Amino acid sequence: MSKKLISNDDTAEGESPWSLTTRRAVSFLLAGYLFVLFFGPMTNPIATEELTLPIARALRPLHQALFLGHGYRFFAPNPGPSHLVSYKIYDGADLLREGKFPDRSRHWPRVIYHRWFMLSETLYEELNQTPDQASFDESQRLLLEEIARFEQAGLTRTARILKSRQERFARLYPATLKRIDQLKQAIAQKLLEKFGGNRVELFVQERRLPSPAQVILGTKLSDPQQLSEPILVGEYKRDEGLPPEARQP
Amino acid sequence: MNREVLSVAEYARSWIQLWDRFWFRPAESIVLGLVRLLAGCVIFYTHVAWSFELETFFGPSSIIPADHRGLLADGWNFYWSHFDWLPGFLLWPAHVAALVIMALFALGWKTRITSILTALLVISYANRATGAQFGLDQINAFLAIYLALGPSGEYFSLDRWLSGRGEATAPVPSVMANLSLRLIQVHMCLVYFFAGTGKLLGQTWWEGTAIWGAVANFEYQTLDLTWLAGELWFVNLLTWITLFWEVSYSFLIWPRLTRPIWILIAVAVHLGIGVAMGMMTFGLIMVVGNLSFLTAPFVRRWLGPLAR
Repeated sequence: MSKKLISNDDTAEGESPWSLTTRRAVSFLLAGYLFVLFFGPMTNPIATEELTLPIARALRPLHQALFLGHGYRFFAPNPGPSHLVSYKIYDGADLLREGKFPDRSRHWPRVIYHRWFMLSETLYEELNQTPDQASFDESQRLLLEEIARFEQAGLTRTARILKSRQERFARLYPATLKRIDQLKQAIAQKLLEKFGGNRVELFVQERRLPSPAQVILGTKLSDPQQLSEPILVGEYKRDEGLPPEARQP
Repeated sequence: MNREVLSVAEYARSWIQLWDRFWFRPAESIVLGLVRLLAGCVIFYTHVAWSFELETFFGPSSIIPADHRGLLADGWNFYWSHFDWLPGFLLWPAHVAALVIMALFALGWKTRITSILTALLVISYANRATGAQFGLDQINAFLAIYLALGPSGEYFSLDRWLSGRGEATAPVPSVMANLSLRLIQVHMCLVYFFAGTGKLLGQTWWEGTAIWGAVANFEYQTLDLTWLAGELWFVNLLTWITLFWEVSYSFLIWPRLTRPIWILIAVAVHLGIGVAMGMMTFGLIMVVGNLSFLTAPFVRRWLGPLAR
């Protein structure tokens, strides 16, 4: 940092009225805070088992309490396709309503539309990134085999790191499944509460990005052909899975 | 001590002096006041908008389960929200009270108190809406925290207006005003640094087609920019300007020579995203964050009469 190159001098004025002791004490706090700040995006979404994950774990209380620790990877690594949640609500055997979110015809103002959009992206991402039980079991089996091989070869440090990863995956997987199930359940119950009916089917869909060539040839961004086939992710009955006090009257 | 040790000591001392000058010199709070006024308006609007779906997202039977963030936490769970213990019948009164506090913060009334309450409220709302929050909430939250730290109500505020002080009795420059501004500036650099370096992993940013990926997304689209399909050189140019600007922001926002250009690009990029991709609130709060790099004389020159 060169004095001549930095133009913030025209904001800050004069010498500090703070004593040296105060400045050193606040410097210490500032350095700690900057460390906390930096290790938010540094450990989210990617962290290493050996170094940054333990740091992230230690800093998590502050990140959570102050709503810091975000990745800030806006439109990174690539702007991708969008994801929708669509639903069919039934009253008995009769189809009562079909809909989707986000839905620009219903969700207003725009920032609220964006909330629904983020919710559909969250659900899709959770489902997309979570393997089914069989795939998860297989990945655990492979990890355990690898750990055993490293242990046999006397590479105990590497084995320990892998073991830590395997245990973390094993610990997080049930919580992830529970989180996804609860989210789907809550979405389903809210839709039934809003629109009536006694059964709802939830689907997720991906809207692919058309290439420039496709657009030149006449494809509209809203073209239904850009939508993937809906994938059924759950079917829920009214009040299913809810405690009695939470059920609708 | 030999000459090498002395030069290392001098070098270290010069860095300590730079550090002290950067953080601990007193500054006028006029820029901080401007940031408070504008960030306060965006924060207020962000939360007014929640009124349209308050019960959907914050009610007792919210679309986002109450322990959703607990299940995200992996052990530690320090996420907190006043909605966790708020009875259903108090949902609307509490929301209206929150909006009143945020409006008063934006207007700069009893700013010392309303700024702290606003920061707590912004975090609380965002924590409850895990899964539906996005960059807007993240920027709102850290701006609110830093604005609560410093004297953000000394300018552009009801506090100043009601005190009857004119230009002749301008508030005394303070270290806390400088600290608050510096924290906003450093945090903005951190945001852009990781947003930019994250993009370096993406093939479309290197190919120069990433902007197409943004404008061709129907869910985002608010302005038809599909004509860009026939002007791919322009897509390439916009993509690389965005990438270079974002990656270099943390370094080139500081020099006097490049700062105005980097701020102007920030305004163009964020308002462009706001208009074309329907994220005006996010665009505006990013622009507000960038305004923290304005200088006090510049703000006084253009907005001086309003600051009183």
